[in-house]
Amino acid sequence: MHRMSGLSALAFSLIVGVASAVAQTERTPETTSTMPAGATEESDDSSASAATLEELEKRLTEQERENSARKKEIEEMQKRHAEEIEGLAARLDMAEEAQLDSLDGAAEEIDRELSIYGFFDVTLFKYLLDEDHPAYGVAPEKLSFTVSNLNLYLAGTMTESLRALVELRFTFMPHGAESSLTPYERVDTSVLEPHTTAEIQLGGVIIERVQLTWQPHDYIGVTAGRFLTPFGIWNVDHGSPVLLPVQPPYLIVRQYLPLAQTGIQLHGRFFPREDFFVDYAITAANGRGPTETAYDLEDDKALGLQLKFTYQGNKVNAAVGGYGYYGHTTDITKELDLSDPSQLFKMTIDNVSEYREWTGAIDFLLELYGVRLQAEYVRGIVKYDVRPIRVMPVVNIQDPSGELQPDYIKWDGYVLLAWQLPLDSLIGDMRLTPYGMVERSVMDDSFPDLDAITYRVGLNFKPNSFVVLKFDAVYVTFSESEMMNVPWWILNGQLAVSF
Amino acid sequence: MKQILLLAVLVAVFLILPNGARAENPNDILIVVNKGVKQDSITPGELKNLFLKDKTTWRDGQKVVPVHAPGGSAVRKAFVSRILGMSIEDEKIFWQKRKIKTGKVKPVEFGNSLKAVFKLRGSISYVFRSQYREGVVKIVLVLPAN
Repeated sequence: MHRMSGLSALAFSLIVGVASAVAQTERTPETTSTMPAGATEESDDSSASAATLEELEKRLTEQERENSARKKEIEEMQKRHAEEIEGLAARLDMAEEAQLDSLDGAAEEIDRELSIYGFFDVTLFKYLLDEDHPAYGVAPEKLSFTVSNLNLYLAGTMTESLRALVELRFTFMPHGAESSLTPYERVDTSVLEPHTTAEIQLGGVIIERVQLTWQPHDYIGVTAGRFLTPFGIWNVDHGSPVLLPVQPPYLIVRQYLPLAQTGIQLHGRFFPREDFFVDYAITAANGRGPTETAYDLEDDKALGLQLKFTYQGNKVNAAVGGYGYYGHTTDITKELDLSDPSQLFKMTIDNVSEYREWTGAIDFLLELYGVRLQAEYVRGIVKYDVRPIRVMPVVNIQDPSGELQPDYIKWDGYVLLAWQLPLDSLIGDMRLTPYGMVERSVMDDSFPDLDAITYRVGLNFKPNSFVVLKFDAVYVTFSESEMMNVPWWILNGQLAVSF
Repeated sequence: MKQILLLAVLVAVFLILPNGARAENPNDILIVVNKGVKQDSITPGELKNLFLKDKTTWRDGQKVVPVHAPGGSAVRKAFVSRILGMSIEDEKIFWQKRKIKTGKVKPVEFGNSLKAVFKLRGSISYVFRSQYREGVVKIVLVLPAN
């Protein structure tokens, strides 16, 4: 009944509307009034009006002529540009066609070109240490600029399953490095150029990575050469444009695990679901040692095993991983004995240090709507077969009492929280990310003077994808130390550039 | 009563009709592969893995060659947003980081991605429906226009 009333109302409205329209068309227009005859004043006025009207009409005609001419000009320009654009597009098409013809179905040709890219950073830092501080003089405490990283990558794909990667780090070191504190010695690589007699300082090259990877399938591949140890987040992220803070944590600096190894790695990835994958890696390498980049001083190889589980959603990413490492590390001295006439020479090799370590690391990452929560923990046991005299790290001084290095436990953990601020509407594609981090580091539980707690707060600003500006403040305290229990601040600013 | 019944029938027909019978929008994104690829369908999740190079092979083990439309194109922007869940700038940042971490570089770009997929074994790319030409490549997924 209600619906029927509604329909009736609609029909009634329609009828009324039509009726009004019909009535409107039948209405006669009003007639205009006519001028009375014989009004001379009004004739003068109308002559003036006619003249004005004529003037206006003239101006209008001229204006129309000008507009028409301009419109023609614009059309001609558009036509010329359209022809140019068409020409460019045609040339581009031809170039791409030629490129595709040369590829001719060979997908492996796509990446065959060598990619050269890299990054560098410029840092301004200041250690806030006064002269009374126990650590005064250990680190460069004056306000300083430094270029600490210039990393160059050479990446090439030879076939669909074969690729190579070289990463070189160029550095001004060892120039300026303090090689000894007792007596004080500083490396000076200054030389005179023979041609100009200008003094120059020689730098150095560090081979960070040089590896060949054969990966016939996602689930299995082999990498041989010098590779980054596949543990954690920080070590894998690796480069200053990728990392949030300026300085690496003690977990990296103190090398609880070897950061890179020379050897071979078996690795792969499985996809139980399309948004969830499992990575594994098995490493066999020289491990640690004073000569490990060139040769091993042990037949035992360092072994490692990694497992990592990653979930990759639309707005949420999460990963949990672990790496276990066993290494056997030896240091030796050699003595050449020429006294025996029956032999050309006799070489005596003595082990001066020998230890085994078992170290495990776990890592966790959660990225959720711009928030990043990252944590790592590493713990290891070191047992000596041949004990050296204990050496103070950083200053590299042997214990004056001659105490031998005992077995020890080492561990380190940090938590980092960062938030990429949702400021798209204000700053567009630029990115602003404040962060905070806390770390506890126990380098050697038999020597607690070096146990450290660090707190960091900082800010990352990315104006574009190539550049990041970082500012952070680090508060360091050696809380367990009787000698070093005076905290200090480090202030950093860094410009990191990827190219 | 009859009017109500007529209205109900019209609504039901509209709902029941399959998607394919809806009007095709020229801004639908078609995911296309080389005709030599054996796989006939792909999920958005799988597509994301291929274009982020987290996965490098088809289900049968053939190597995948992901091909992007040119940077700055409307179809690239739409694809990156819907499938990769990123803005174009975020994608640039992602590949800067990934290059440094792993040495992997971003997928190749071609101005005419349809021609590239036609030519390259194992390749996959995307075009707007308005750019598609019948018979040249195989469609494995349709992303309806928003």
